[in-house]
Amino acid sequence: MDEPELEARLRARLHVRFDGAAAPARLRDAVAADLTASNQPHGRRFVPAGWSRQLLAIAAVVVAVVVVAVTLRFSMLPGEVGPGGSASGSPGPTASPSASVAPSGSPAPTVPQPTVPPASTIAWTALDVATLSGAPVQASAVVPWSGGYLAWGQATADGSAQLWRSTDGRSWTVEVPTVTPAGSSLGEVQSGTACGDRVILITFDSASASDQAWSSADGTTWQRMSGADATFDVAGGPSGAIMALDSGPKIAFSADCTAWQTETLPGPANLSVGAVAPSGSGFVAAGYSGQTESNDVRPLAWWSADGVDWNAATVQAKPGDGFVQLYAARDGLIAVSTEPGVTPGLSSLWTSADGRRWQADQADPLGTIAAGEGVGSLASSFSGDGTRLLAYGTRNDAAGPIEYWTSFDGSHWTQLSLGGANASTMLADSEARPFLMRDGVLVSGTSASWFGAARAP
Amino acid sequence: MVGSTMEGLGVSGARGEAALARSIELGLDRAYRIARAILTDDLEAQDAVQDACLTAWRQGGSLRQADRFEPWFDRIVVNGCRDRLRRRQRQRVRAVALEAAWRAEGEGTVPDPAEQARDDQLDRAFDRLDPDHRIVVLMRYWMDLSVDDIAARLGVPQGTVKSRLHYALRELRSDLEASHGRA
Repeated sequence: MDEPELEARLRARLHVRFDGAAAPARLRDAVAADLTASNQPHGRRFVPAGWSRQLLAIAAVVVAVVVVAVTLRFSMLPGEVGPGGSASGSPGPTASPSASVAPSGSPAPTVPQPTVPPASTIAWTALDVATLSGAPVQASAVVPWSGGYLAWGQATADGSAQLWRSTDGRSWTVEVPTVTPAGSSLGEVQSGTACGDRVILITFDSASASDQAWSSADGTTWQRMSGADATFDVAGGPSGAIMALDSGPKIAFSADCTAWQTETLPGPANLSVGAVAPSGSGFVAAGYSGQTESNDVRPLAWWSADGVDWNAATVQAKPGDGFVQLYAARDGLIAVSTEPGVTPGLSSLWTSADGRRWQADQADPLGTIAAGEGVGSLASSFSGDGTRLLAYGTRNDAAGPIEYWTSFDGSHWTQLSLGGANASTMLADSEARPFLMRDGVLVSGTSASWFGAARAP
Repeated sequence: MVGSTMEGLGVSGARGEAALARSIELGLDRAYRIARAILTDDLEAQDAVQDACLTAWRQGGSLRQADRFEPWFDRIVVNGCRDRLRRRQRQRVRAVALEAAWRAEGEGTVPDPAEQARDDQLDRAFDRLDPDHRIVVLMRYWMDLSVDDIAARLGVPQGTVKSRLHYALRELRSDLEASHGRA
């Protein structure tokens, strides 16, 4: 059975098995009773009202169902074992599902030149918001490249993200990508970066449940990179680009995005990389050791001046946390850690001046990094383009509108005031996702897009 | 599919509590479907959802963005189900109630025996998946969530989500090939 066939069968079967069920009346009654009981003056104690009376009735139903089930089961499939059964054992997130990028010796000495004008380093104080026409919606990645931008968003019929191109971030045209090998598709775009005159994408292929790396010299024709299918993040900097590989985990570096060499990160055997980012002329990586959803997780970080020699960073001890996100700016970096599997999530904001020493920071601009839901505002609160950081979301203590803040170092933040005729409609789209551009912010919503042109003092 | 109908929450005070209660009520069907799919046991799914509702009720103050109720509640439900699955594996309890329901749904039809056998093999392979693998498979291929959304709901890095999906499919494929070899 090939991968697309397995995916199709799996999807169909899961829908047959699990679609359509509605919460039984008994469950609705029990929940309503719980919530009512919890509203009483003496607190929110779990009082399963009516439970004892219902228990007898439920037990009778259970016995009947089990009898019927066993009877049917044995009459239709003699000798077969029921569902549940034994676990197959998780190999953990760090084992290698496929080959890594082939080692290629020393990287080529050529240092790629930036292909996009650098972002403005003037402090921003406001965004003038205007609605865009024909711009990316549901964008998942925007990559500065070749004097402009490439963006991927709303999925097409084959599951690939749609591709847009722009020179200024305001006017966009839809492109139809061509992929090699023929018959493949780009899939769900995760991240991307410019590397010299090329652009690299990391995508997730649903049928094989694996990452794929793609390279293009023109932004339209895409070549799948062999040997890099375990790549899950990519970052570009002045000296080249790095890819985080699931095997090891390792880091693959290339100065020209053609020849790659791989390096193993120092540390314990059970480490995982959560994200990578450029830092100055080098790179940083952040992750954790131990298994998620367990208490032995420890935050870990690494730095490299050249993408080849990697060193363990000094990280403030905070057992139970693991780095999951990482963003770079001109004067520092931020990382977000979370206690995996905790309900609700407890998260921390970390800062570093150079990626070599990390500490938990209290300079949370929105109060979003604290005990809370652990999703939404955590997962999409920050972005960084190597020059500035952007924080966005609602405040911890209010249901006010979404706020936008910027910083050059992760410790000092400035709130952006929002103006323009379309600011309110932009703020009304709570699923909209902002992307830092060199002179403003592209906000890609569920069905519309906006550009917030930056204003200086 | 999973489906949902959500309204915006209020945030604080009596109005906030009423809005939270309403959101929980509206999210019950979705939560029950998710729990039922993870646990493959109707009754245990009901217990899991009841627990999740109470957790959501108690922790509602930590929900800062009203329109994030759905992923937040999903996470509570999924975490509770994962804990139950792990306990179940330790106790070696087998669930049969839901299987009976599936069989009952099929009564009155005459399935192709070969097709039925293939479906059964796939069902058994899915049911044997490690809890973490089963959850990401459901979120991806049944709930149609993106890797980013799954990572946010589970509170793990995207790389972990993708790694689990990769290994889960590999296990499914291996299990199906083994079943085919035995047939």
